[in-house]
Amino acid sequence: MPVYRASRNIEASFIDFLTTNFALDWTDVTVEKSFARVYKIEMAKGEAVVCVRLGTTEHEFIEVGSDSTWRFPNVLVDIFATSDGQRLDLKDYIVSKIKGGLPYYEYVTTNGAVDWSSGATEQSGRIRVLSIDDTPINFDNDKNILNKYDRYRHLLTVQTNIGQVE
Amino acid sequence: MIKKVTITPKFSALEIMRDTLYRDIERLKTATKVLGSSTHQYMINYINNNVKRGKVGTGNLASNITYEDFETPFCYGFYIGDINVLDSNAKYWAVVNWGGYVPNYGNPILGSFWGDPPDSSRNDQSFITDGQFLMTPKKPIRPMNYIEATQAFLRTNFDTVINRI
Repeated sequence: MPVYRASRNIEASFIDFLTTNFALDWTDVTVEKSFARVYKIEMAKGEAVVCVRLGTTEHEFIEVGSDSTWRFPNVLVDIFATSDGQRLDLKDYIVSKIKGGLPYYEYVTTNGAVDWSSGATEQSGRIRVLSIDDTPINFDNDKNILNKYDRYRHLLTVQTNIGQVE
Repeated sequence: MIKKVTITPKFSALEIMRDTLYRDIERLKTATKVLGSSTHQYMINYINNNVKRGKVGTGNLASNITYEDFETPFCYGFYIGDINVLDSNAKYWAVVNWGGYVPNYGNPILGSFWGDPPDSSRNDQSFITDGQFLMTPKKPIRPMNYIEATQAFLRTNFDTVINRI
């Protein structure tokens, strides 16, 4: 059965974790993994989109002379909101949920879909959050000249580690 | 009979601490200078290596990433990139980093792809504002996140510098 490698596992674990939490605590928040697809979502008033992507990854050798490494991936969480208040609430909500870490899954797919049956996709430890950079994205002070997707944006840069030597 | 001996220290703890710290600060400053210039080079290389359209790009953004530093007896610091310089010479720096609908925020704009009209079958040309063709961007610019990548590079390598001191 096809399995995801570490990078996709981290990205997918983030997406599943946020999707589950938004389903419980929010309405009208969509979680996407493709930046270009965000701009195809209708985004009516009150609806927000969160895009999760894996950025650069640093691999550090655990000690001199060893081939084993620690992995430090940067997860980029882009927030596309429809108002400034929503943007601030969403980013604080996400920070509060992820700062304590989140479950790390090793995904198994069957016929192109994630297989959640017993013995397939399973939790394999946790993703540790080492730091969070919280950046408002402001292309222009006059919001009216901006495209609706780019008016109320925010970026969380999350440095992570899965605590596994590779 | 046991004699009581009093030892009077002939050194100054403050002086020793100051000498030790100063030596470490000099080493840290030297290491930080190397780190500063390598971080600057990393950002330039990252931009040049991740051009989305065009094999080479214009190189304008990368060449406008400036490096400035300052030094005092106990401190060395550096700045990479100056928003004022970027705003005047490469004002698309923000949209290249974070992605989105610019130039002209999704509205029609005059320009060309290296002198040619837009052609969806080609992706080897960069957009320039030479006023030749009126076109409306249909797809957002994909984010390069060169700032975030450089931050990660700096953080990891700064930890290495600190561990070596």
